[in-house]
Amino acid sequence: MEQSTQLKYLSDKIDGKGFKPSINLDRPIFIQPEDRISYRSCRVLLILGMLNTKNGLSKEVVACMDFLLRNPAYRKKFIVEYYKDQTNFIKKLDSYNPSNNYEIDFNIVQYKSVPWDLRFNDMFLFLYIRKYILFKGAKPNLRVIISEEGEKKNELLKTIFIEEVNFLEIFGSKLSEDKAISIITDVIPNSYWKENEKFNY
Amino acid sequence: MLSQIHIGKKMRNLIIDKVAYRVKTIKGNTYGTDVEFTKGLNIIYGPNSVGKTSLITGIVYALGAEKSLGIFQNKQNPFKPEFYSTINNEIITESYVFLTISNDVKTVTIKRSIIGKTDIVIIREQNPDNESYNHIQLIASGEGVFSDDGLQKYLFDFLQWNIVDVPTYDSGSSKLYFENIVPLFFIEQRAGWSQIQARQVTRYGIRDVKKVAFEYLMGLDRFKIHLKEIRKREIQELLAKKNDLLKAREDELLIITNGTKEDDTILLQRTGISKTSIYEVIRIQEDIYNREEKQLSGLAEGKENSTDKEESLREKLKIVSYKIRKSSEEYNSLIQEINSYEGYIDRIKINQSKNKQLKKLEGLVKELNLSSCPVCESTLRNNDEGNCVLCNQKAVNRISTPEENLEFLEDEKSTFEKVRDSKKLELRKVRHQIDSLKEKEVSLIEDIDHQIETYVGPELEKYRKKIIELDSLKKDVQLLKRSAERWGKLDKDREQIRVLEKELESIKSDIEKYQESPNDGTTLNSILSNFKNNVRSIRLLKGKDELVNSIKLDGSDHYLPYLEKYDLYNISSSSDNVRIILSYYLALLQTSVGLSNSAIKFPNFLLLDEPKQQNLDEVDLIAFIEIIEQLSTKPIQVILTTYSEGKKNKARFSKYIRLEMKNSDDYLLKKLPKKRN
Repeated sequence: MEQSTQLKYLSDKIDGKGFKPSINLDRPIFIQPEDRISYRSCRVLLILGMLNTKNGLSKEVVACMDFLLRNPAYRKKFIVEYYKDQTNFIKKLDSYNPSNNYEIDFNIVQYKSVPWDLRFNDMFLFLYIRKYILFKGAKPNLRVIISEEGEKKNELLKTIFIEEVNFLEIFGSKLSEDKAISIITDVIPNSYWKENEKFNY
Repeated sequence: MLSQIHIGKKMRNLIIDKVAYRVKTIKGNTYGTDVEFTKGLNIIYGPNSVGKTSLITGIVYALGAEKSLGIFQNKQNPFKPEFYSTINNEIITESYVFLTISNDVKTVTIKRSIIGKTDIVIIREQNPDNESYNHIQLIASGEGVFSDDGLQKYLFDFLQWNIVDVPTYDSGSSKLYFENIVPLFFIEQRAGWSQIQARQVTRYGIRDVKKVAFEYLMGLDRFKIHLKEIRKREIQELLAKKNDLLKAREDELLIITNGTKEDDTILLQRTGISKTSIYEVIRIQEDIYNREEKQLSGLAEGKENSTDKEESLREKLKIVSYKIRKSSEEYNSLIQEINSYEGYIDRIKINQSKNKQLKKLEGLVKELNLSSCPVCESTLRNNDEGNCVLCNQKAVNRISTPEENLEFLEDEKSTFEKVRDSKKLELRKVRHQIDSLKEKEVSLIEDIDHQIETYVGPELEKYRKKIIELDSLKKDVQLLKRSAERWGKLDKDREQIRVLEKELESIKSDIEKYQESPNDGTTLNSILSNFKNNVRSIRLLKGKDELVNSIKLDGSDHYLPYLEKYDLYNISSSSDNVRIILSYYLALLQTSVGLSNSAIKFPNFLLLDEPKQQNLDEVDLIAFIEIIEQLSTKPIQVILTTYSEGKKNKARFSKYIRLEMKNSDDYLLKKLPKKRN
């Protein structure tokens, strides 16, 4: 039976027994963490608390790193690309210990330039009104810096985002922003998105 | 019997017996006029702008030759408004022109409407057997004028002219139209006097139309060349088409047989045979085949048994291979499907861990007390659409807790895992199937190999090779036979091409040979001498007899008279120009009646509408009349409109006046008395 006819059958039966049928679908609206500003803001704060804490990060780099925290499958690739010309390459790769061997998800939304989305503005607002972050400089060199209050909060976050911390720690406190952006906006799209096209067509 | 005798030369005469107009108005009044003409000279006499030209227009219009008046569009009306719009401030409802013409044998009346349905004419002709009349409806303009019910065809028949095709500029052909011939006997009032055949119609794209029309009407042999040129072009096109087709077919056969063409046969080169014709190759190869086949037939026994068995095994092998291929496809698609389920499950796992993080995050970040507006301090609420007033997002009653999310994800994960596991089972089944099929395939191949080795061992290898060789030889012979047969069928096309080429050659030589036939010379000389005489009579180039004597006329300039050293039309004044043109048309008429050449189709008829700004002076007019009078014994008709201020010699020509308009108020159309019923 179709679902609607099943429901009708049920209500008819109840009705037939002299009761008044009232169906209350008390279901919450399911919102997953990635669609919650509070969750994502905390992760952004984690990024700001672990990389380039002195001078802060540009919004674009925040978006790039957030992309990696959002999609764990690309982390390994990022590490390989970031350190491939350096002697400590193996050591760095070795220090990355994911709990799971993630498969690349070919169906994620593909970005054209930086994986920026409008909700980052909401996240910065979320953090700013709680005084967890500060802004320094002016466009186009605007930088986001974690505040003292934010750093306090970040200590707590580190206990929750364990895997993410493991990943971010690899880069120490100094991240080459240009390199990060070029890997995210150039290398990854050219290697994976094209694969994706082959896959689909 | 009498009429049959008349048929012949005389029938080409065109004689206008009568022109009549009937114009009816909304008030029921009828206006009109009737003008009758006779053989010989007819003069319409009257001052300018009273309607002399309208009478001429009626004649041309009734003959469907309005293009000779410079009218090319149907909506244009060649008449003055009092014939189609209003007359005496009365709106016209009906308007007709009636033209009675004869060709010495029969007399018919053409009726054509001036308003409304102008593309149709009604012809009334007397029944030769009794006194009744036939009414024929014919198409007068637009498409179909040459069809069986077209006026042009009727007129051509009436004048015993043959309808001809002549070459056009776009390498095609066109009919020679009545309006292409009219300019040779009708001089229109304005442009007509500026040059000979001024109103010739060029819209059909006929090549050298003035020349062609002249040659047609004056019966020059030269005209036949134009027809030959059309035929030449036709043959050339046909030949090109046929040659292309033949070549394509021949090429195809040459490619199939790997041969070359020589003297309309295929030459082939085969192993052991030197280059020779296809028929010879077939013969030699058939001989070889027959010889070798006899030798082989003795060895052939004993092979048949094994063949049947082998066939069935091969059939089985084919089926098994097909099944393996199908199962492998299924296997691959199952693997893809399972991979995608694994991907979903992975994503769910990531989401689960994120939800666990979310759960821990609860209460960690500062809750902001934003229950009231920071500015006005009133309580925050939803706006009319139920959206939050601050962020304008849909205000939701309750969003899921991380626990609920986890529960939901767990449920989804287990569903996906179930599906994935069932697919994995299916995959194992397919794998097993493939394995067993492969085993079967291997055993089948072994069977076949075994059979081949047992029955057709290496000792028969030579035999097999020979058979293969013979097979290919037989196939080659069959192919060659088929090709040779098809090649032979092309002979018909080749013959057609040869016939056409022959005809083309003869036409080409005819065209080249033609210079000027004696016949044409006579006609042209007659026109020229008449022209010179006329010129002298009407005082052109007075006192310059040398110049007159050196006037020439030939095909070089559309058969117009010319001087080699001077431009005849420039050394003369504009009134001289009128004299040239008048002399020329008269010369055509004189030649037509003067020569007993049955090829001449000139209708022995001239329709001359005197130039508006350049009236003939009386002296010239009388000279002109004298020329016509010399022809009085001949079956001719000339209609001339004219007027002269001085009336000294009116008596000299008043006997030819058929219609006289006394003053500038004496209009052509007169109110007619109402008929009594």
